[in-house]
Amino acid sequence: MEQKYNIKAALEALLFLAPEPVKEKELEEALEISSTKLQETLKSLSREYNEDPNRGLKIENIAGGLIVSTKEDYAEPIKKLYQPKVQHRITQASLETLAIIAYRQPITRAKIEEIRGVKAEKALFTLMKKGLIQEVGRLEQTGTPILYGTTDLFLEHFGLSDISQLPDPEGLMEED
Amino acid sequence: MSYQVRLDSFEGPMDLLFHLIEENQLDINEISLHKVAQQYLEYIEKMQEMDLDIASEFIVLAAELLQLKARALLPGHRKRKKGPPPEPDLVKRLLYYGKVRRTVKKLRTLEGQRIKMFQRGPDSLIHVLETIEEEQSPPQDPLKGIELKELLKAYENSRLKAQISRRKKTEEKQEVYDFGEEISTVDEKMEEIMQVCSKESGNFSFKKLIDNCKNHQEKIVAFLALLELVKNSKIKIRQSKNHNILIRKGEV
Repeated sequence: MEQKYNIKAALEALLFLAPEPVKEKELEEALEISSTKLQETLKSLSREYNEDPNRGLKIENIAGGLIVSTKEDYAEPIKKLYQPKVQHRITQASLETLAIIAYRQPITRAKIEEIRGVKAEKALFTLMKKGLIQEVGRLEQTGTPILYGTTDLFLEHFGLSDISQLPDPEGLMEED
Repeated sequence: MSYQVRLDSFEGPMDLLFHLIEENQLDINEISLHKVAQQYLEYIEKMQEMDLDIASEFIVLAAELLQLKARALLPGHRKRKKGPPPEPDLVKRLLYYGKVRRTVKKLRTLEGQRIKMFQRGPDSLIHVLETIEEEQSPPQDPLKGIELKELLKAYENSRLKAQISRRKKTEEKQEVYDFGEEISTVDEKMEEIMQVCSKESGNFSFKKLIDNCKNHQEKIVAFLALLELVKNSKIKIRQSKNHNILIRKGEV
């Protein structure tokens, strides 16, 4: 099939406008190309951006989608000009809780508290409010406790393409 | 005591115990636990001296440590089973907690990198789309010749009017709630549909009903009202050949 436009340029345009990670499927549909063709184009475009030191942008695979980000070296001038909304780092208590949830999901509050040896209510509340975790179901046992899991926003916060990309789990996933 | 007490910086008993083991440069095993048990207890005592509310979790762990120590002191306790004694539960938990902490450090690094990278937010997309639209159709200024001052005045006026009318409506109620746009109830909608039915005398289309709704909420209310009416056989619904859904007054 003959294309009306340069696919690679079109892909670049689409990614440029993406407000949040775009799924590959969506790109294939918008460009009316096959999955293989997309992969091929994407690979070549990503290489041009990601590896060329003369480019300030890179194409990333995050939370199951593609997005254009600025390279980390340029944070300083960006902050100077745009004063982006300050993204708060997660507190130690919340991050410990989040790590346990990430590696052991779905998991109940009781289990988290057992591992950390301290109440997790507040940390869970904060993480929920920030949209980093969500309720993923209920455990079928007395009291049907809530099961927690991580969200796409969690993947975005840490720049992960999916949950398997978590840093070396060190057996964190296994039952202790 | 030579060690520094940083009272507020411990997240919990595990954190404290971990800190003590690390500080004494010990491995995590039963022997280390015996060694730091004393320090742990001293720490709790210090908290008491300072009149701090000691969370029950700290006490529970202290009891666990004491139990371990007491058991180790009992003669012959270890000989009962062949081979090395099983690791106490606390050691396993502490080892796992250590893994969590190391992972947290790695996540911190990732977070640190991430914070330096920026992406286009949803807002900027809207902006770009607006510009594109403007380019396509020649811009017409609907506010030509109107001064900003007049505009502000008009806005203020209409805001006040809206406020007054809203207040009137809720006068009977003690408190004023702002629910955004007013939505009719299912009952109101049912009545409305019945009225239209009698007025139209014949059929009228479902599409018309939905199109007349101002927003999603109203559409939902209208749909619920319709279902309710069908249930009560006040109206009848059928589908025409060209897939229009037609509503008609039912025979009561």
